[in-house]
Amino acid sequence: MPNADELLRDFKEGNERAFEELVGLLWKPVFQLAYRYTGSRPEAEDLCQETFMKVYQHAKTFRGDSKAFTWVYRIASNVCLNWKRKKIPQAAPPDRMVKDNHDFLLKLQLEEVFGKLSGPERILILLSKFYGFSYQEMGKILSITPEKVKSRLHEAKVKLAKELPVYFQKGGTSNGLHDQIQLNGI
Amino acid sequence: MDCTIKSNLTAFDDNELSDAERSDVQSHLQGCSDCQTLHNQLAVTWKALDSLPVEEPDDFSSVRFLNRLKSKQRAIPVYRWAFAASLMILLSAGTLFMSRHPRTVQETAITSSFFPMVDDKPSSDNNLFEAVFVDYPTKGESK
Repeated sequence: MPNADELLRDFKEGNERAFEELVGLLWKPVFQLAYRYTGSRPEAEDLCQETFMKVYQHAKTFRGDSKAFTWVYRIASNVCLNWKRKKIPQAAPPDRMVKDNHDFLLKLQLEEVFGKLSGPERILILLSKFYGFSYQEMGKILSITPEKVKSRLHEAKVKLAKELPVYFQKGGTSNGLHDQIQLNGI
Repeated sequence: MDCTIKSNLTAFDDNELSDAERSDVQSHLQGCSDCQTLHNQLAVTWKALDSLPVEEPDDFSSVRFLNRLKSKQRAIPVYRWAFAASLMILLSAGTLFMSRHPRTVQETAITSSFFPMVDDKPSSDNNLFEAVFVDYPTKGESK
């Protein structure tokens, strides 16, 4: 099965089918990045489409000095960073709140806290946590040095840790998350 | 509190430190409760991110995107044809107009050869033509 580098190279040479395969390969991870970034399915779909439209339009400018994966994520990250929220996210339906009370509250708080981070901080957290990019790769994606990635990622994690009080009112341990919530009376 | 060590805690967990830096952080953590606490908090926070909601994309969203892209590509040649046709019509209309309202005898001769059906006889009301005909002598005729 061809990888992203081969597909992008073939597409640059005029193989339209290669672009379709590239979309098939990367659509889901790009969508999930956009979804985690925006918290909204329709917005994530819009951002995903915009990302691949730019990939289609600018493939010929790709010089091959980075991996195709890195280049596509660079476009996706820039699309996310340029995104402006179109509407307020809807609250979860009542039945979900009754069934998954603890999980729901945890997710709600996490979403709220995560949303307080700046755009670049959110992107750094997502790329590091869910995509396993190295500091060097993230530096290429965001056009910053690996040293900047290191310091900004650490600052973002510390900010997140300070904003999640439910875990740290009792000093914070790595015990189960549900135990932490129950200790705080939720 | 050793600020250098604290700022290296994330890189320590991400395996992005040199061997020497890693060794420094490891030995420091064994002796510093503040850094240990922060390290644990960061680990719990990182684990908590697993709870960030994630959804699968719609099964056909990528297909819809590709279809839309193909439609746009097909539409472009239609626009080009429409533009070319408009240009041809404008040029033809312009040439026809010029043939009916020639400015010089030479131009009249040229247009007549291309549009033999055009009545190149000046109308009696076309005073402008007559004035031009008088002013611009034909070949061989001296002024």
